[in-house]
Amino acid sequence: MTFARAGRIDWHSLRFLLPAAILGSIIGVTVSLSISMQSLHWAINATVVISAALLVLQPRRWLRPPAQTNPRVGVTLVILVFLIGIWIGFIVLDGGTYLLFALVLVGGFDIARASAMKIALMAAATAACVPQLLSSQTVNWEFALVLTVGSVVGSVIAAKLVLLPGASKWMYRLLVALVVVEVLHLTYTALDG
Amino acid sequence: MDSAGLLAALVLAGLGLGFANTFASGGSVVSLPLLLMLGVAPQVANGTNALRYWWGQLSQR
Repeated sequence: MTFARAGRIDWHSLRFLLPAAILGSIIGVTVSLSISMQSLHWAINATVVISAALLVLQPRRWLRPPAQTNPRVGVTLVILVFLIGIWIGFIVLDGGTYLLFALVLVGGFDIARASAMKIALMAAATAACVPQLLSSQTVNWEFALVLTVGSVVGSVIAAKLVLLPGASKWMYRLLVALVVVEVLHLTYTALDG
Repeated sequence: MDSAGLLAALVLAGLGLGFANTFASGGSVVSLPLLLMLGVAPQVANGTNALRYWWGQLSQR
């Protein structure tokens, strides 16, 4: 994280939000490791469908911060962050989007500050899950490493391509098509098995 | 799937993930279902994806 972004983080507000997110994520990962494989598979399927819908709808474009930002960390925001923390520990998927909405719409933070705080909260919440994931041996290191390296390369290529005229539209369509294929495959295997 | 095919699928998934990062907040929408499609157990797919996400968060600029 750069100093520029770090400077946007409201550490004073995070003193209540970080413990809430971390506690929630520990509960969430405990639940994900406790439930049956079939239940988790169904939960992932449902989450991927919702996430695919969010990818198409792009709810961030509706995100309008209040005209006059007056950030406040009340009980409601702490409870919301705790619940989102449970979600992050459980599946991670779209947890960042939910955090961003909570920080802007409930906390009253501007988008830049909320984005920086979201990264800090997500990093802390996912870090809190790592010891349990490692001790339960539910991490495939080779897969994680290849995915991470591929993701860095993919981001660099995407960043170059997006500058070409009309490219971003086609990249977006390709991505949606890929996710739709994955959703169809997941649904088929779930119904078949 | 043989190991070369598996590696190719993972590299493609990683590239798709990078593309997804350009348009969406995460990229888990690509990687998580793909791990399941490759036959990885749900708990392992979830754990692997969480670790991958954490690494990504740490490297965010």
